[in-house]
Amino acid sequence: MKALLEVVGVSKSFGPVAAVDNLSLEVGGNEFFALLGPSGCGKTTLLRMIAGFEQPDQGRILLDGVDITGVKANKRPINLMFQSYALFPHMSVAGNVAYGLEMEGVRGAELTRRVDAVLELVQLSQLAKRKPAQLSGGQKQRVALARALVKRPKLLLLDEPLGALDKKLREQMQIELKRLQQETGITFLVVTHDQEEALTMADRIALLRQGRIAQLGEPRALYERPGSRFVADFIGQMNFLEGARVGDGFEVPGLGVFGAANLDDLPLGAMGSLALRPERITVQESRFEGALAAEVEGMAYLGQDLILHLRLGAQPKILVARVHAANPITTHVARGSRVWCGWPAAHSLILSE
Amino acid sequence: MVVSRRIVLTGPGIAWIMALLVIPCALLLVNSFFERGIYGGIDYIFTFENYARAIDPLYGEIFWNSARVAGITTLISLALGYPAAYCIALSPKRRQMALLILVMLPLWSNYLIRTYAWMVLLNGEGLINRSLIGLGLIEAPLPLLYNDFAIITGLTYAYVPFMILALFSSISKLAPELREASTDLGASPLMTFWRVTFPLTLPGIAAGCVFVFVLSIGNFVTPDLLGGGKRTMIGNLIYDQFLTARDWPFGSAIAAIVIFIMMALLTLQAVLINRRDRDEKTV
Repeated sequence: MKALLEVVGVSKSFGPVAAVDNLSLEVGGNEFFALLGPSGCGKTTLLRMIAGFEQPDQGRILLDGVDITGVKANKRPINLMFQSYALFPHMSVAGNVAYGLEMEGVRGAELTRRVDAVLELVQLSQLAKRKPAQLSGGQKQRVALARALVKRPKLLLLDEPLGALDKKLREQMQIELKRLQQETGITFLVVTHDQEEALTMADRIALLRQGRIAQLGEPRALYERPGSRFVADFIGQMNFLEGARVGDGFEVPGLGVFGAANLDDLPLGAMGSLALRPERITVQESRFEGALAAEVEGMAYLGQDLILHLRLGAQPKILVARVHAANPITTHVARGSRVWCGWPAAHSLILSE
Repeated sequence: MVVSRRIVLTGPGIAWIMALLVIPCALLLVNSFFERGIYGGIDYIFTFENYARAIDPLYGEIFWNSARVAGITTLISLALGYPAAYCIALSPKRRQMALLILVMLPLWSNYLIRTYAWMVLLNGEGLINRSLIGLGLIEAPLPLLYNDFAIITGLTYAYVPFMILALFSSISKLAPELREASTDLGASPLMTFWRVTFPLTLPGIAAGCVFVFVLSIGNFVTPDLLGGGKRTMIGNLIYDQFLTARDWPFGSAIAAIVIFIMMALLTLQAVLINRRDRDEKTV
């Protein structure tokens, strides 16, 4: 994969706070890349440096192999879709979309043709003459997208693109954004704090923490093989059982000795946490091999799934299990029910940090 | 209950405006349709004569001259005020208040004193002429005082703070993302100003211009002191009709015309702002 965007050792501080700390990453051509992280992790600062609105204190930013660190924002073949959309309120939808092309000197029939084409792409042709104030949130989002796409940038940056939309529309737009990225062949770099959004849309995700990359990889890798407790906790839901590596496995005091997918990576005697996804836990009414006795402490009904809060023996920790609605146990389990739970060793991980 | 609270809250203000603004203006309007008494009083005989006189070319020139001076003052105030207001609006929040207080500081001293200070500066023997002669740049003093230049300088000095305040409130309301979006789409700083900042701050420009124009065209102290009373402006004309010529009906007619012009301008500005607000309501 040839790198389109290269961020090389970039740092940026605001006063004593390092927003981005010696960060490097590469984004390939035609990739859908997500910068994911909690608020204050530096993802927006990094995005603004790539767009050209902030200058890095250190490091370089390259686009297509060319150093653009010192290039002004209006000269970069990069466009940004703002979180607030930042539509020009005094211009119509078509006027907003045409603006960027007019700045390039595109005029007349060519201008009209390209504006019409991109409005068609985002299904806004009917609203071309409206002003932004007359549009719904979802329509504004499409205008913002069209305005950036019409310039045919090498790289499109999207700052929390779906943050202002309601849940239903957000899910619909996740698929829509993915479609647009594939149809246009433009590289998308999305900033989001929503792990579900990143998992759904991105080809690769960089999870940021305190200005550094906590983990970079494909969604599946981040979800199934998190490298640290932070990653495991941030992406999806995770149960942690503290313990230590012993001769024949990982011992959780009071519960027993367990196996794990990465057991061999942990040196003997080392402390760590056994990490377990809620949906990997099997819950049954009758005892099965390797099962632990548990009491149902609480339940949450989600429609397709049932969330069970399980107390294991005298453990202070509550184990969260996610049971599919098709499981017969969901129909007669209740608070206080005695159940048995277990998990395959291959679906648990030991995380030492 | 809501209605009674409304009356309690707005009543004093409305009563104040009625007693001291609306009723006097109405009296003025009424007086402008009567004849002047022989000894300076008002004879209550209905006539349009005062208005017929007001459109006499002699007074037309005074109207025109006042509008010209006020117009030039407005344009200079806009040219000086916009960059200042822009800088204040873009400076860090904690510094904005200090800068705005500096802008308003001159308003804390008496208007007459400030006007006299300009006479000291612009005088033939004043600071500016003496400094220029001292530096050897000119030989004879420049005619800086008692002309339109002096009037416009004095008016601009006096009213530029109002322009800055009006522009500041408009510019600071503009989301910084709009300028960034324009830059991001390839616009130069100048193009961003022309296509985004300027059109979106038109309501502030209109408000500032109406302020300065209305205040300038009605001013009679500055034309009197800095203009030397030679070039009569509309304010001076009204002043003279009431206090020197004792022709209250004619003075009232001219005052009514000026009020009408000002109201037309304010209405125009309000319409502009309303239209703009409707566009930006949900942005």
